[in-house]
Amino acid sequence: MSILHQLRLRGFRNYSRLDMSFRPGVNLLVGGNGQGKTNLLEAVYFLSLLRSFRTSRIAELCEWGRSSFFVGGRMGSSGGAAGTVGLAVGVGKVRRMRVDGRRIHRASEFIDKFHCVALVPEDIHLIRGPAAERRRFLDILLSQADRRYLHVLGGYKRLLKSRNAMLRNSGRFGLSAIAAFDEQLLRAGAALIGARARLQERLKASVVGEWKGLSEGPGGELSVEYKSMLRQGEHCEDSEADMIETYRRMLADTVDQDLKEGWTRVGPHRDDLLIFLDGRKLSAFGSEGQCRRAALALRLASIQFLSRSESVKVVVLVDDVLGELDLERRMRFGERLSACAQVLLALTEVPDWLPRGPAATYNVGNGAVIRVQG
Amino acid sequence: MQSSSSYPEAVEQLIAGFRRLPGVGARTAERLALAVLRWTPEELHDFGLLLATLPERVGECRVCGNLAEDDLCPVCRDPARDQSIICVVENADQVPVIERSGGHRGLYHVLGGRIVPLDGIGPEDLRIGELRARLDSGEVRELVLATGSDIEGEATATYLARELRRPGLAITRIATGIPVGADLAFADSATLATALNSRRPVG
Ligand SMILES: [Zn+2]
Repeated sequence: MSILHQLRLRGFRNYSRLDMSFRPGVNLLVGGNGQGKTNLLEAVYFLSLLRSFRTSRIAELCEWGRSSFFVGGRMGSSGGAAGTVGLAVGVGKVRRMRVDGRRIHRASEFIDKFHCVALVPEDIHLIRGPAAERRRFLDILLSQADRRYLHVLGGYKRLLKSRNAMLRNSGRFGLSAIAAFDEQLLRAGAALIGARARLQERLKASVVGEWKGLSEGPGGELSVEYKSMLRQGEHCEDSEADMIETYRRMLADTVDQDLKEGWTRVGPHRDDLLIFLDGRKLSAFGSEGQCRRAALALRLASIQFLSRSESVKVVVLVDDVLGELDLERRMRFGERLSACAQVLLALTEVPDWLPRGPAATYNVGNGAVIRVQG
Repeated sequence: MQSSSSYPEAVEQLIAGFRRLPGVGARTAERLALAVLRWTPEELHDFGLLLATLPERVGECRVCGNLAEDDLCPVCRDPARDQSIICVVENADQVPVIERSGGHRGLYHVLGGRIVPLDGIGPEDLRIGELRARLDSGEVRELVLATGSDIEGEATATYLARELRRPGLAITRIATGIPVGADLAFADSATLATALNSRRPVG
């Protein structure tokens, strides 16, 4: 897996035209608020995952007065460049994706040419937002770790939509057609739940240490628990075959209600990742500061999860998430960042908490970026 | 796009006609139209007649739904075909693909599509009743389900396997070789022959 060497933007947010390069290690982006630091991180994130961490509206990503933008990048090992990605997106148009100059038609072939994890203020929704935010968190992480997950997830979504369409038009389709599609729904759904449950085990193990590193004094114990109505046991000891049987029974038990209401009430699309501090639900009682730190701990745990093999490099984007941390915690956080293959760190001033000087420093202002060091 | 309005209306209409064909863009349509203009009046007349009489000459085979000029298609008319095996496909354009593979010596049944809930296409829109009637005649011992390997193709196969199951009838599914999510029309003959020979029970 690669890091990002070059970035090219055309008509993206406040960048009419930008060509810049990044170094392995910590890249410091320094500039005042509203100067476009976050926009840079957002562009890199979009290039990795075909989505923004701020908005789902393409129009917002286009430069003022335009209805399309281009984002391109050159990735490779820390030694040098080895591949390119290019992405042209227009409002209401089919996006055009290229990998190494070749036109790509499936998002799954384009997505995640380099692993990207963003640490941004919006992460508080991971704790306080609806369950859909946490399912998306799990789904993105699992898709990054294994492309087949993305494929199964896409299949599951289509199967679920199909099932709901049949429930609303049962006169035409009937129970036997629903049952025929359910065979695939069960398998896809069980595969998603199994993968999420295994991920939960990994996160549970690493989130404890990450939380300690971000806490002052005895900060309590942070834990996560994947909650699915289809998992009987506390841990992931249920075999996939058992789960499929449970799933089949629950779908059969609820099909009458589903038919009445026209939607499917059982499946991984209803699951959640519960987050506890000392056994209590953080979203219900946690302070804003605790929630922000818990979100940060989850992101750091994600980086650990993705970096589990030597060859995997993670590009970490950091924007404005340090408000909750005192100097000692910031220095620990700085140590964590310094161990990452590549970090794009946006700040209003040069930090005093990095263990060593950054690999490069850039001044960001007025839609332009100037390298001042490295 | 800039229109090439220097052509007479009739030629414009001809170009527009060619453009409706798959894989034909504006430039190709224009070249085809100009080529046709160079034909003799007799050639044009014969070709025109062929096109004009297509609807009355080509229809569906009464038995299997394949393309047919009479009420039976060439496969159903051929007494050498194995009457005990029926290969079920979504559309008639998949029949020649399987024929070229040489992996199937039995008969066909063309469903006329597959179950697509998101497009509102249900089992009743397919020629499943006709298939059931063929099975009732008692001669068929194996049904090979060759619907696509994407979600709807798989689900249609599962549906058929469950609805049509009966004593003395083996129901199999073409198994390997076809990439997941692939359209049968894109599979090459060798791949398809392998797939047909390694079919598995389904349902
Ligand atoms: Zn026929």
